[in-house]
Amino acid sequence: MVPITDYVLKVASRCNLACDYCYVYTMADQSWRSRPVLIAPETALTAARRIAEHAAEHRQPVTTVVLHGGEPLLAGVGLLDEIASILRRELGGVTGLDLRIQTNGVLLDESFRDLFARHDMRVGVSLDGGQAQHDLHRFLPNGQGSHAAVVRAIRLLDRANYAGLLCVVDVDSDPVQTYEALLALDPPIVDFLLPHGNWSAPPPRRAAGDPRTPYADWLIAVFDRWYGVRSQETNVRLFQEIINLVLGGRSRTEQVGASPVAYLVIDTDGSYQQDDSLKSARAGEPETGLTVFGHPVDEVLRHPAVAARQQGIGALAGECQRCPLVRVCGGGDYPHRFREDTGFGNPSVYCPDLQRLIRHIAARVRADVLAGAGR
Amino acid sequence: MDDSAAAPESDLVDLTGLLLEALPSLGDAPLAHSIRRVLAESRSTTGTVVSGFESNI
Repeated sequence: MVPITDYVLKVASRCNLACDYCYVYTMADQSWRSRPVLIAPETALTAARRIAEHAAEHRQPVTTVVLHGGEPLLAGVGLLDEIASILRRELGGVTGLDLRIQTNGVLLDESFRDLFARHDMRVGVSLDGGQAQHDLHRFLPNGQGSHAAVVRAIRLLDRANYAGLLCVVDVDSDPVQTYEALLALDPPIVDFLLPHGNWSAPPPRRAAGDPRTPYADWLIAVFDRWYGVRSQETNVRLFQEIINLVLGGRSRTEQVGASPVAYLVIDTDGSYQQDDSLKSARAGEPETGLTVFGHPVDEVLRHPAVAARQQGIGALAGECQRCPLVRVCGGGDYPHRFREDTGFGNPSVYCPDLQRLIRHIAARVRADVLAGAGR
Repeated sequence: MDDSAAAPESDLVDLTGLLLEALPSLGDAPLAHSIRRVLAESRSTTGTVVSGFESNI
């Protein structure tokens, strides 16, 4: 049993955008409809005490809490200030607090910027590239694009609070243009997320079992642009994680690798959930039936579904376990393995893409390491 | 410290004795950052490396 080190604290269950690929609102699970719109301060306090209790029990030097949604800025400056203060007070002297927030940026103004600075909060922003590309998927309920507001928000952020950019891959976009549009905003780190889908509800352009690799093709174009510079322009999390695995290291993200999952989601009603993105697979899939009001975090760790995701390669499908790339791929992101009839005991629906991307990166790294060593 | 002893194993790239030799010629390139990380992790004694939530950065 690996202790939980990261918590995703849902402070708002609604969103001010209507992105067409959102796993919270547009896919299998619709539980957001019955959640409190905002987390109550007493729920946040109980959650903070559970987090502190677990950190103390396992003597954790640092605990990460990500304020998330929906759109977390819908909670407003006052409530976010109160939640951040609760977390600092309850975790202080027990564990270091790495406090983060992931936002679509639309509501971010000077008052939020000052709040982030006051609480030493690191801010991740979701941005899908240049204006035309971003506004194709990330728009307001009235259809108006959000790009201009997001870029203004990023420019407003203090550098010290700017964590980086999250971009969902659209294989119909130009990969290098997309990457360079992100790069223009000088992010400390970028990550490219595969759109959620599975064997029963495949992602765009990824028919189940089709040997073509549109996602690998797209990501390889970005990789070659990112990797082929003399001085690194930004970190790209997915690529760095794959390189790290190729070099024999371990992954810190679920997209690749087989490191034990050590995060929990706490929803606005205080319920503990597994990976939030399981909402893309099946209604109710992330639920544990446990809450901060009745259960310590250690009890959540004993939940069979949570425990299963800490078992690494041994818990993967047999086909994956026999694959020579398994230590790097790790079966891919958990929700992408789902099939209505067999559950999660399958390779990723992105298996051909992952294989091609990993082999491409491994070949480039191998060549450069050998050349660097003069062999 | 014996750096070669700390070199991690990999299914895909045999790094035995190569990482530290490769590093100077790579300068500030992305691969150099990766090599520094894998070396640091291989020497680290602070617990298990774990997966975090991907929908935040």
